[in-house]
Amino acid sequence: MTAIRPWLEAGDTPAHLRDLLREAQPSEPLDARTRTRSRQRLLAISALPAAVGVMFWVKNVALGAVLGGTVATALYVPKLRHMTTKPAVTANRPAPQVDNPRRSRPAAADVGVEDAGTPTVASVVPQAPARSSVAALPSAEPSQLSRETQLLERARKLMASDPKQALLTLDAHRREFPHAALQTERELMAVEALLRLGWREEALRRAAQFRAQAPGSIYEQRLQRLFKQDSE
Amino acid sequence: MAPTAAAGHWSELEVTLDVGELHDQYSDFVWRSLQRLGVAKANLEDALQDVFIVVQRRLGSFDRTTKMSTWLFGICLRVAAAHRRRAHHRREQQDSELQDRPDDHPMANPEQAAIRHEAQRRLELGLEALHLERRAVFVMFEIDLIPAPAIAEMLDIPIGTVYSRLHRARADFSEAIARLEREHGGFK
Repeated sequence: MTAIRPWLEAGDTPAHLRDLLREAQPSEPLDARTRTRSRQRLLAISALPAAVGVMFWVKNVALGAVLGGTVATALYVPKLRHMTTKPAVTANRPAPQVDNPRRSRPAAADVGVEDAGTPTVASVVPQAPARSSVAALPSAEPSQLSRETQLLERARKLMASDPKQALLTLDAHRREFPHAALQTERELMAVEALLRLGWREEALRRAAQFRAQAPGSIYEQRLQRLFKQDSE
Repeated sequence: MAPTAAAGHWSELEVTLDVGELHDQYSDFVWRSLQRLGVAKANLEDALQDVFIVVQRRLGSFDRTTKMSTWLFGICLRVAAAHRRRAHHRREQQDSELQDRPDDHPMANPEQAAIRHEAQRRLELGLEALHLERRAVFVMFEIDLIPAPAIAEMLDIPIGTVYSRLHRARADFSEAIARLEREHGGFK
């Protein structure tokens, strides 16, 4: 392929285009100060995902425990009940009753002492015991930090396209977590959303609260830039 | 072991990826790429940070058989696209930025300064009309005067792709400038 010369150097470039390109400013290198600042901010932010990663790991362990517990409960509780109630049941009911419609209902009442001991197909399907055992385990709830992260991540994704919805998500975060671990991040994002919506007064008020709550925050510079950009 | 920024290859799979090291080696490349993709000066630092936050999140899924600079450039494209969408909502910001830009011609009089300002505005509008990938190649070749083989190496694309993107970018740029002239009059 024939080498092409830049328009600025080629002889047949239209004059008006060459004039335009003469006014262009080549990309500038990253200065040392900005590089250092950027690296520091990056490393400061890096600490958060690491903590969140740990929480997700904890969450997964908890979920694993819940699932394991559920399976174990489903497999062994009916057997246990069967063992403890078998004499009474076998005395009252002739087995088997495979197509009894009551067996298919997953209500907790369905696994009463009388039914649990019946050796039918339905009785060994662990629907009701499994459900009730999950509800009884508090560790099934997601951790606060992972839930907080989910909400803030959702708000972040909405920020450019729908700042109002982003703000609503951040407000939901504030209601759900009045003592949030990620309060600083939330407030910074809220200020940005307010500015995007053109609600500068409210943004200023919230920024003042933010500064009072987190003086000297690593996000202070970013906050300043948000207002600077908005006023330009 | 760390790769060299110039080569950008991660040929050894046991290389440990560290976002801090990547920042040290590639922040200049990212910074320049963001400029070439049209991120406004006032937003460059935020965009740089956005890129490396994405890098940190996705480092685990990085395909080490690809070139680091290519992967980073892909992230720059998405970040720049987001900034471009925002800039459309804040057109006045770009205008003010151009007005704030210091005139590097010390002898320029007000009239010359106005002409230069108008030229820069048109240049930016012409570049805005380009698809981002073409814009990057166009700016690298026409403004940063980087030779086509070096662009191909940097972006890890065939030289033919560089030329085809450049060809399309030139056509789109010329058309955009012609349209501006029709709508707002010719150059002074």
